[in-house]
Amino acid sequence: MEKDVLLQMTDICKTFPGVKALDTVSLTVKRGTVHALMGENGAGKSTLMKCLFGIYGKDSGTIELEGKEINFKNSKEALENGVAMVHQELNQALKRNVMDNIWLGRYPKRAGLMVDERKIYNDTKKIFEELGIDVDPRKIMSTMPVSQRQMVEIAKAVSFNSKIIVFDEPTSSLTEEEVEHLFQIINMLRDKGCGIIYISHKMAEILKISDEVTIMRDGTYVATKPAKDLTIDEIIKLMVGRELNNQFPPKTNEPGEIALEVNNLTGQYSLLNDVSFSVRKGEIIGLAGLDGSGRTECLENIFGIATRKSGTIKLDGKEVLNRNSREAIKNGFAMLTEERRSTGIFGILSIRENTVISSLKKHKKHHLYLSEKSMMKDTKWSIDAMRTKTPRQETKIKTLSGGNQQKVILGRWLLTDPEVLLLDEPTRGIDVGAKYEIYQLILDLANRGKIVIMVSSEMPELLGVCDRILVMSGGRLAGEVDATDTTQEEIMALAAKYV
Amino acid sequence: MICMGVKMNMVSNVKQGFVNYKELDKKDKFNFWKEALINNALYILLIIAVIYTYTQNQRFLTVNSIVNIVSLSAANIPIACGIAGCIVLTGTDLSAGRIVGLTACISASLLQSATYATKMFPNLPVLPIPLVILIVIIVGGIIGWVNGFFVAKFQLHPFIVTLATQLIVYGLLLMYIMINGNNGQPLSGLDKSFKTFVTGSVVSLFGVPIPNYVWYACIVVAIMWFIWNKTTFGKNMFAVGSNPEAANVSGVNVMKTTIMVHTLAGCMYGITGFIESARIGSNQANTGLNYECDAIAACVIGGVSFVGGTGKIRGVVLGVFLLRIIFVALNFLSINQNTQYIIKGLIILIACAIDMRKYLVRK
Repeated sequence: MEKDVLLQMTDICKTFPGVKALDTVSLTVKRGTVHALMGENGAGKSTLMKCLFGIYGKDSGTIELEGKEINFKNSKEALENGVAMVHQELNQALKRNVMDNIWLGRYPKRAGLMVDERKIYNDTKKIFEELGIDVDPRKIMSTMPVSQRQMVEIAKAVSFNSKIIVFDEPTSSLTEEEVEHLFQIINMLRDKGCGIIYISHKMAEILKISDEVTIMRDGTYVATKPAKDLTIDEIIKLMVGRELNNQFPPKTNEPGEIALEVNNLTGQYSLLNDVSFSVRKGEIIGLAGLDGSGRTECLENIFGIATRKSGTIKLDGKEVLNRNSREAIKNGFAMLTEERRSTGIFGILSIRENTVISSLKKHKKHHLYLSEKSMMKDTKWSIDAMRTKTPRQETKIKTLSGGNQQKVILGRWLLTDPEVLLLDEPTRGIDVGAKYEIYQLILDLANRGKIVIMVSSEMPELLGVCDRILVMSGGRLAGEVDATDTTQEEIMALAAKYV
Repeated sequence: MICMGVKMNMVSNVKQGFVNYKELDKKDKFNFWKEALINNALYILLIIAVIYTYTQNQRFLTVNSIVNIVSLSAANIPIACGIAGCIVLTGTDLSAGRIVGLTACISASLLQSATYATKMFPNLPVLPIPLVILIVIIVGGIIGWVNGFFVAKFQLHPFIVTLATQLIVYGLLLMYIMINGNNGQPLSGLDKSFKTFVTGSVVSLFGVPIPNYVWYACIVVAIMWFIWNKTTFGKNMFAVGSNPEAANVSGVNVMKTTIMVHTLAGCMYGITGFIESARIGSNQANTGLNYECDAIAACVIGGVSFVGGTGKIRGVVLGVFLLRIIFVALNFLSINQNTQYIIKGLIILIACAIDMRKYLVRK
């Protein structure tokens, strides 16, 4: 039976400074179907959705809803026109109750003044009954588990009579039973004639719930196929199928003795669970895995900025505690964080201040004051060694490009003379040329016998730079592969092991 | 030295500016002037105000009047320097004025002349002045430490913490001036050595004596400049103010730094209290009331922004002077007290708006 087209996105392009995020991507969603959208991290799935909802303006291409061209300016307008999204991170007014959250911004009024509490209660009740949701509309959001809050979000989409509902990683924090319930609701919506766009990394789930699958890679459209014709292996192949070319410097480092041992690392407040591994001197280790698989948490636990529940860390045979960042720095650790803007740079401070902040002790004269001359010398060294492009040392760091900011922070850490470098997404948001330079810096460090542990969502990067790759999944170590004789497919399969 | 630095900077800025200016086209030139006008609006207004006041009342620019402006500003400098640190951390300090009040009363009570009839501690000899300075610095420091502790440890907003501590300090102050049957009477009859030490003069300008506390304010400025620019603590303070998360990752002890900034601020209020005590002469429960308002206003006008992580001691001093010049000018123009409040309020509003323009992200 041929179903008619509900949403048609054609040749969508979107360019960010230095990056082509979307290159002529098309997506066709038919009435009464579940359409899965798949791709690696950074393949452009969320960018495409943001273009649909008008959060980003598209550069070119057309979007048609039921044959009429649309161009939403914001998600509110999209919602009013029947296009809704259930976000991965729920944006809800947690201190308010369920029905307030559903009717926020469009309360029915009585006498043009008072909010009609009874009407919104009854309407909410009716939607909940329809969807088989068992939640009291008067309950406060913050007292409910995530799964129920997600149901509220779905109910809100339904209350707008949405024709298109986008689910972004809806099952990432649900138990199996809750996933079952969610699928029942999705099936119900499909039978009602809605078009569902379903974004997820979980292959098994995709094959179970969806009718059609569209696969994206590096901001381009790869293929659209009926789900019943696909296998997990085929999907992985389509997702990662690209050639590695000459974007990495030649590997010259030679790992020596085992120097760093991490045993049974378990986080107190994070999902990190019983992670053990060891690293040799001069070795570059990659940490692969999906978003939220515990890679960042692993680094944070080693560096002491996240609380450890149990586990030991040994450097050169000696146990190190690393209870906070200061101890970790003293013990020869350095950490480049993932979110450069929020946890890396001091935006309004100068490059010099950004460079010397972690090694101020070195510049102390007579236990009293800091020598400006010595700080200038170190900063000059850092700028030269990293080839940072900046007019002056006094320039505010926020005016530099992402790549140059990253070099400043790397320089900051090299000045603390670390033995172990923990790099979390060192090349995120950096243009290709600067990426190559960062890879070269990492290799130089390994050549000098430093230990590098690097988290990255870009698999070619891990394969091109690292010696070994540890794959994390659901907070656990799912496996270890040799970077020289593994495939992206193997890593992908491991990454999906515990999800 | 600081003045020289400013001058040198200005000369090189003007030179560079002229070169850049020549390269602009007509529309950019207009924008250049517009920006220059708005960014320097405060100074331009100040110059206009000074000239206008002078034409209305020639006495405004006599040596007497200028020394008066300088000394009134000097009295406010320590408290402003202290509160500036809290603002650099994106916080504030509402307890400053009350701490000044408490330390002023403590100074007065410990330094009343031995022959004064209603002496608060009749059996206490006049204490050595350095000891009293030390005591008020410690008292101020302890209260500042408490502020900092609650801000850092429990992640409370400084507004809330200092709102609470200013009440507590006020209560302590009221209790203090009740003891020994003093019954809340103003503390006066200060020892001559104390008055001479603070308000006496060793240098005169064209026959007008400059009070000693002007020099003490200079010492405070020098020390604070050193702490802000030349010490690990200073660098850490700016790092925490700019991005506490990144500071933590970079190995800065955020908690210790926050506590120390507030403690240092408390010490500065202690010094202010000591100077105010002798300057006013008769200290009571309301001494120091609302001092923090003028101090915060001076900091903001001087470019210590609530955005955090930015500000200079030079700016604080400039802000204090600017505010004082305008207050004095309003008096010289015999503008009535009620209107003065409105004008002060408007100046603070405009100053903050101009300051904030620099940090707005334009889309």
